[in-house]
Amino acid sequence: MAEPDAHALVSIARDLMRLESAGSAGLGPRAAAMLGRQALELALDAVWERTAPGMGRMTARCQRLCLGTLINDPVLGRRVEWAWHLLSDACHHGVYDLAPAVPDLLAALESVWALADSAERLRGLASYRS
Amino acid sequence: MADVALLTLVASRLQADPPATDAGELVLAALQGVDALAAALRGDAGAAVHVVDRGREPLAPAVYLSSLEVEGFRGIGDAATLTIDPGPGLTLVVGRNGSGKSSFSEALEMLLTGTNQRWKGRTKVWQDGWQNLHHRHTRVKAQFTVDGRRQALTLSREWPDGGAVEASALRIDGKAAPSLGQLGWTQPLAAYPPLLSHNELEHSLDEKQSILYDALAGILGLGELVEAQHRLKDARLAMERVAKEAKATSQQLIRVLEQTGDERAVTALTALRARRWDLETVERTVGARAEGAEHSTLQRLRDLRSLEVLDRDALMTDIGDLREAAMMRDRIRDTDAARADETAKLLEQALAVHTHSESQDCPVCGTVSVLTYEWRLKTAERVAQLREDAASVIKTRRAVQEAMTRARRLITALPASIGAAAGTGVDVEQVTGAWKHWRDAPDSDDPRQLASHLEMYGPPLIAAVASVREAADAELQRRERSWRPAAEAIVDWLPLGKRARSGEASLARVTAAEKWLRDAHDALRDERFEPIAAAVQANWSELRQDSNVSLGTLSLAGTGNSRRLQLDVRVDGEEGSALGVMSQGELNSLALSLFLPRASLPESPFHFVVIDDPVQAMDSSKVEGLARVLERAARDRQVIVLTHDTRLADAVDYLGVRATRVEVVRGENSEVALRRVHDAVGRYLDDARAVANSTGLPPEAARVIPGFCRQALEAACALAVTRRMLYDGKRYDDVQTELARPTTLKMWLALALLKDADRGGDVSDYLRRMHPWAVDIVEDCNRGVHGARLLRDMKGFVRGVEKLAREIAPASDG
Ligand SMILES: Nc1ncnc2c1ncn2[C@@H]1O[C@H](COP(=O)(O)OP(=O)(O)OP(=O)(O)O)[C@@H](O)[C@H]1O
Ligand SMILES: [Mg+2]
Repeated sequence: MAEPDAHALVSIARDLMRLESAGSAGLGPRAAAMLGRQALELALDAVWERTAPGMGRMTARCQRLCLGTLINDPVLGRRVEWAWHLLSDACHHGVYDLAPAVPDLLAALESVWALADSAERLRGLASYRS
Repeated sequence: MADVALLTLVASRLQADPPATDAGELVLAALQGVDALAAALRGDAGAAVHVVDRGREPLAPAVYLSSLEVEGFRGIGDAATLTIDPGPGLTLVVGRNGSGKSSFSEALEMLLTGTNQRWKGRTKVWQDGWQNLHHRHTRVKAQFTVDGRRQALTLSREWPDGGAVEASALRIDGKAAPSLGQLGWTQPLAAYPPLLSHNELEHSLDEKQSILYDALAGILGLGELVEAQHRLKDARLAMERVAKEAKATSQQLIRVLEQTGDERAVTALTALRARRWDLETVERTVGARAEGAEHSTLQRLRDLRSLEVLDRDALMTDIGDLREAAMMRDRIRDTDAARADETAKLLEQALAVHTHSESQDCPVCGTVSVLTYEWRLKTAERVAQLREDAASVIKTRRAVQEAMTRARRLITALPASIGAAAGTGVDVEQVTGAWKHWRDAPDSDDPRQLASHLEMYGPPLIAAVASVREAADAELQRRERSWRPAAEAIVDWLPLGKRARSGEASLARVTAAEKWLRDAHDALRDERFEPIAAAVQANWSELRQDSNVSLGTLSLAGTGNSRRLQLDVRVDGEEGSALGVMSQGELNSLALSLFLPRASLPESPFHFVVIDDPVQAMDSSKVEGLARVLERAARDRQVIVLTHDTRLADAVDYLGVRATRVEVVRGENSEVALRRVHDAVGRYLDDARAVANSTGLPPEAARVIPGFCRQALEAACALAVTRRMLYDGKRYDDVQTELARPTTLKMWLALALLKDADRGGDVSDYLRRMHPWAVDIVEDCNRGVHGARLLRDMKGFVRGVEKLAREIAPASDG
């Protein structure tokens, strides 16, 4: 089975949002957030692969700080930063965390999708250059 | 009509501690209503204490909430149901902002009261969003378990599609009902409201002091005493008003009287100027028998006006009689009635003798042949004449006597009223002279002399008396004319004066009754409020934690407009102005401290309380106190707390408070889902299992399982650390600080297992020694989170995680 890309994970995450569990409320949103986080990591890796190989080894915080500049899109950089926080919160135990609110989650996934888009565009540029 | 229990209570207090003067009767009457009080003040026998069992709602049995189903209301679209175990206990309904929590509690409020605190004091716009935008059919239905009732009680409220918010229809057990009155809930809903909305929590203390007072005083069941006080006060004010008005108008009356030169005015003035009005005297001055003193001028004038006067015709008749009698006497002047009588007797005898004799000779003188038939006829005639003469003499004598007597009777003495006329303004000189002459009648028995006297002095006397009578009448009329306005003023004023004076006696009694009742009310109030105040204190001391504000005595004080909730507050030992010094969080805590004891009163049928977001403005240490307060309240009440703030759920976890947790998640189109969850560890494990067990998911979905597993382990670590630290006597704030440190699973494990978050590197060694089976599990969690494909059986993996998690922190309710 081929490794899925960020786009694939984001669409699966959107599907997962409707998942329910008998023992907890908000399984869907939590699962979606978790997958969204993984999609964000994949998308970031894809971006670094094309723009700045080696960035992937830096700390997560450092990576996010540089993102806007490196993809030349500060707005998307900030959106990803925000999505990162939202999705990461859902992945660590914050003592008694609640599932993220659906509208927030949808917006975060949208940002991840956009980052994956820009990774694709960078790949296009790279292949054009080579 | 008064409540039996309250009336009995008051009656026994009256007996033990009677009020000054006999005001006790008034206290009891005032308790029974305005009419009874009025009757008692009038002194009616009917005012005897008359106790009636007030038509109260039946005492409602205890109820618990078992489910709440909401459809199409505010943030809730399709029907969503909150199910709660009936009976005492704590339920936390947790969800993010906007997840629909308040929509639930407000729906319950709508169901019970038909309206919403949220809208109170706000513009109409606030109401507009009451119906859900995605679901246009609105219905709220709740089930309750009722003490002593086999099946559940169902209440529902439904709105016609497109109807106004007020247009709802209430049903009780499926049957249409106008209100909750038949359940006996109307009164308790007002006295012991079971719902504390966030709006109230924030603003209930902003209310006017009198409103705070009323909210608490309402539960003490002393409302009737307050009403009775008002009745007494109204009665007293009415009396005082009358007294004041009577006093003011009496001054005007006095001024009128002063300008009236009438002795009645003087009498009335004296009566009115007395220390205490002599209203009987005042009244007599204008009454039908308005004679003042017996020898008053008025009376003398009235006597003069009604002087007896000689009747001119009778006088003339008497004079005529006298003269006629005189003439008759003249006629018989030479007649000797006795001689005539003797002669008549002698002749009669002669006739008798002659009748039996044949001789015509006189037996006395012997003259022959004189006693003829002729002689007989002449003699009989002469006898009759003689007899007649004798009778007329007697008759005439009697007639003269009678005429004289009648005439003398006319000559009366001078009437006393004329003698006493001095100072009346009537001139009696002439009449006195006339009367003197009149009296001076001749002593002789000559009727002609007497007749002349009468003729001479009678007519002048008649004229003189008539003129005195006229003069008296004129004087009386003059006086009446000047008196009338004063009399009218008196008549106008008298009823008010009488009311004022009859009120005077009652006023003292009413005042005494009022004071007694006020004291009794205050004493009962303090007595009944004490346990509530104590509970409030206990709550506050739990909630205040680090706050430097301490609460002193709490009491209901004052009456009328100055009634207030008295809060003695100290800031760092310094006295402060009650509410002014408190922070928002402290105010919320205080509002909650006040709410819970009231809602937990044994008299309330509502054994459930719903509190919306009490945590918001509190910091962590207060949240811990809150958890304890709620725990205590939940011992005998069903406590349902809605909150977006997870700290309360955390605190409940750490403190080992038994609680049911319900999570609310709101999805697209206002779809609201509720799930009951155990502790955090259990919830994450549930999530992991749910994904592992789901069929039909894309294989990539399995990538989220390690994430949930890692969270389960982290949650177990947090729980273990908290329990240990609290057990060691650490403060909740310190725990929070400690829990904020770990950023990786290894650090969490190090903190939980090795008591040091920085020893993450030693965790693997430790596990290898203590739980060798767990080493791979921890590694896989970490790798899997970042998307590494795990080549293992997912269900078994979750089971392993669960085992490790429970090793670290045994389930609290397991
Ligand atoms: N008429 C409506 N139609 C659709 N959505 C609505 C309507 N009214 C309110 N909402 C939304 O429903 C959501 C739930 O509101 P609610 O007040 O119940 O949330 P909550 O869980 O109490 O939130 P918080 O924690 O902020 O108090 C909000 O996001 C609100 O915008
Ligand atoms: Mg709310």
